[in-house]
Amino acid sequence: MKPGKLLQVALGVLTSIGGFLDVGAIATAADAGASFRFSLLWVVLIGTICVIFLVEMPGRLAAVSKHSYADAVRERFGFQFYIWPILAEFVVDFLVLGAEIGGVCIALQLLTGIAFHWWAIPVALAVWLTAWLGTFDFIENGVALLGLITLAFVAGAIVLHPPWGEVARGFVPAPAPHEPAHYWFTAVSIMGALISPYLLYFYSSGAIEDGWGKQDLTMNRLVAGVGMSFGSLVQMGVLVTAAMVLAPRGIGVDQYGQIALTLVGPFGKWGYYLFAVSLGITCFGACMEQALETGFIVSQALGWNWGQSKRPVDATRFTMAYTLSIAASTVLMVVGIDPLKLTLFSMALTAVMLPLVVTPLLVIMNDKHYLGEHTNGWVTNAVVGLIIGLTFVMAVVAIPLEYLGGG
Amino acid sequence: MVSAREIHLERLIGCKVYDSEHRCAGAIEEIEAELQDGEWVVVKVLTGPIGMLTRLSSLGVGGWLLGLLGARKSIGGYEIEWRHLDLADPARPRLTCPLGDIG
Amino acid sequence: MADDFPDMPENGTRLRLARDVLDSQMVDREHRQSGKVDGIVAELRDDGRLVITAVENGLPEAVSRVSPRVGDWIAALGRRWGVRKGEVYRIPFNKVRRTGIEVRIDVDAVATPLLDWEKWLNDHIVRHIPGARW
Repeated sequence: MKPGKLLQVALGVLTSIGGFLDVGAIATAADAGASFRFSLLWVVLIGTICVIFLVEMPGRLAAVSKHSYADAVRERFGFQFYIWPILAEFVVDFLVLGAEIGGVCIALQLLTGIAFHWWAIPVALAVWLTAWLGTFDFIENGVALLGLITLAFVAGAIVLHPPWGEVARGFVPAPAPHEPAHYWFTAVSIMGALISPYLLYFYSSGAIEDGWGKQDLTMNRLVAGVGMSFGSLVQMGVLVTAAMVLAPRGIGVDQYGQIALTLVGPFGKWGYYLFAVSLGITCFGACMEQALETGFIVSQALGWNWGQSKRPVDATRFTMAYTLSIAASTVLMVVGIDPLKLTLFSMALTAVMLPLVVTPLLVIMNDKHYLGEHTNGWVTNAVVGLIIGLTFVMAVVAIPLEYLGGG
Repeated sequence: MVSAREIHLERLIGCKVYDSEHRCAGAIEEIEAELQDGEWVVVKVLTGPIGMLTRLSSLGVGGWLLGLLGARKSIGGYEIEWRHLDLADPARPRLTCPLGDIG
Repeated sequence: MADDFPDMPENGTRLRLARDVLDSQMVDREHRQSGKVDGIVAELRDDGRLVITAVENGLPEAVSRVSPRVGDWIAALGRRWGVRKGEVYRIPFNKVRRTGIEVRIDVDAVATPLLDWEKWLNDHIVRHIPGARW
């Protein structure tokens, strides 16, 4: 591989690591560690394997066909089918973007003491301004590279000297040690946070923004595989630090301030500020992705001109779509809805709509009109089939578990 | 539909086709046209699962999955030639012959 | 760019309308994204042939496929407040070519209602916001 390409791969991997965490991943991993120590690590592992496949495929689709996943779903399945995942995605995007804005607000509350809902409008303006003036490269690379600060969770986990034997056993699926409803609800929430529908839409749109072609298929595989694998280490770091700091003290995760303790444990007072900055940066990055994703899916569903790398005057409907999305979601934080509760609820809702979003992948990734000779092999098809089965199970159990074990 | 002679083909998708004895040939999933002297003329509609799999370009994967389940030979649906279709009421397409006469 | 508009295919060529035309991305002469094919219009001729005459683009048309009532409601909203006044735009089928996974249309989208909303938003909102032309 040429040095230039190697650099691109490295950048892609780094941005995958830096951009891996968001408010959902932090909240669900912390809850898992606090409540069940290491016993849900296997869920993070399975979720990561699923994400690797679910990210590689839309990247390959976009690189070969120059069509995004949203384009392909509408074109193959028709408007009558596509309207339903799109509407479901709008609802989830509205809630998740609200939660991510809330994450940034909470970070600022932790740093300044000023209540989070006062920060909602300034944060929303900052998100919007970055989208308005920034190119896709700046947003994807700049913000995500700042997110490498979240490696503090990996460092924290190592500093705390966890019992590595017990950590290793956490990667083996096991029944709930206690509170089965809460255990399985947390498992489903972790998966909902990891396997976010927006990943498929955003990743394929990003590949088109970056001008990927067939020559980038190897890079796509490396970024998906290596990037997501290392990124999941950060989420595992959150879980392990929570298991080491919160679980022994019987501290549950009801507020973000409690999750801050996970870095206070290894790093003392500075851990508190490290957590706040990590939370703020990762959630800001996630806000950007979530807002742009709304613009992407609306524009691609209706065939509009779109592109974050275009000036706003050159893609007006796209820019208005993400603007309205940011404005609408901000209301959730202005009125003071608890960001943590909103996060956990929206992760469960994400799990419910996953089958609608993921199932078309099996059809599209085997369509030679889009992919030519780069359609799925039988192994990938088998994995996608398993993932689809898993999403159906999650969809059925998510809401009942929310009531039984969601708190 | 704007006039009696104008038909919106996208609204035919999903419409069930019946013969005179109310036997169902399935829902229209695909419409095939042929270029004849500079004009595209509808020549066939495909109904039922075979129509849907054709529309999704999934005869390959779909056929394989059905083969796994031992059901490959029984993919349902019909290929209905235009001459066998009556669109006097486009919302209720009808066969002009008994269902058994369709291949 | 219009020079690269494909010729008519050969007589006898077949086209699958649901798979290859309906819901496909339209691309104009200048290779601009110009909306999706939301509808296909055909004419039942006296000789019994059903001849395709045009493709349509418009949200009411797309939504009518899911619910005719909601489609009518959106069309009514469009007539009252829309830039296109609820009109569904038609492109004659002789100006349409299927190429790869896109539908090429032999029109300049800027000169048609296809980009009316894009232009209206630009004229009334976007270009007035600082930084819109960075």
